[in-house]
Amino acid sequence: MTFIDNTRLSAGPNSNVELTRFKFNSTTHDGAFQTSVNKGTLAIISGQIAKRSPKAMTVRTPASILGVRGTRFLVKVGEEESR
Amino acid sequence: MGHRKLFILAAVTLFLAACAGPKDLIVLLPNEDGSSSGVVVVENSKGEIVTLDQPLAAARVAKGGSPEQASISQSDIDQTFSGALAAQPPAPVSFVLYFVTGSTRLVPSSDENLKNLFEAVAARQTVEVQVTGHTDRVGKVTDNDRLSLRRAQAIAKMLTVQGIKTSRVLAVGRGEREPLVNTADEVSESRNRRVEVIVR
Repeated sequence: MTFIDNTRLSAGPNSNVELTRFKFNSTTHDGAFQTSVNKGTLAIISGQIAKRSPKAMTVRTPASILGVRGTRFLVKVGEEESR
Repeated sequence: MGHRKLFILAAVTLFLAACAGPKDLIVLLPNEDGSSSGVVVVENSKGEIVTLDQPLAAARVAKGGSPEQASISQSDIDQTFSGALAAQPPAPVSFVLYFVTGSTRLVPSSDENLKNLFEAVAARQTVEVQVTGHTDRVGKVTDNDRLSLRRAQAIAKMLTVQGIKTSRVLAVGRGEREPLVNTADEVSESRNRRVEVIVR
């Protein structure tokens, strides 16, 4: 998915990702972008929102909260070992 | 085996399970051009922090645990994240097309870029296009608002003729408010008679 601030977000198979909040002012580039990854994997290339302030974009995982500033990164949610 | 022994065994097992509990993994990647990108701060519920600021820096964190620096190889990354990486949408691209003064006709030198636009749109599985029309400062503001919108709509129409759904194209006019080159009022400026197109 590509958002209007040019954030690009893609999930791996069997993932559960929740978009909690998205707000973007295309004039000032101020905004808020909050997502949660509950299961699986997520790849993110952040857009204009994350360039403005380190607090503007956050990603929640079951064990942590990620603050994002202008970057490309991957998240995998821990799974119970099933071996 | 006595009850007590069983209980201890169960307790030890639970303890080990808690230690080896599932950990979330976070990996910072370089930019698509290979340059180092920004920063991800990994924070747990207690406010403990690990900062990732180098390409391929990684962190693991278990529920209730502290975030730890981790290392991961490129091949592990490719394997673990193959699905998410393969699904990553291509970078948005933008195009600028120029117009004959006072009209919605493209100048001939923009034909090439129009072709590039069509190709970029055709190359995408799902596409969303934002078309923003502009004018120079010749004429009335209200006329230019209309002209800029008509320019945007002209390009939007070409795109729908190419097969894009109307709902996927947004055409807006900005009139003379957002010049590429600042000029005094009533100055004819070819670089401001344009439509900017963003393909996502």
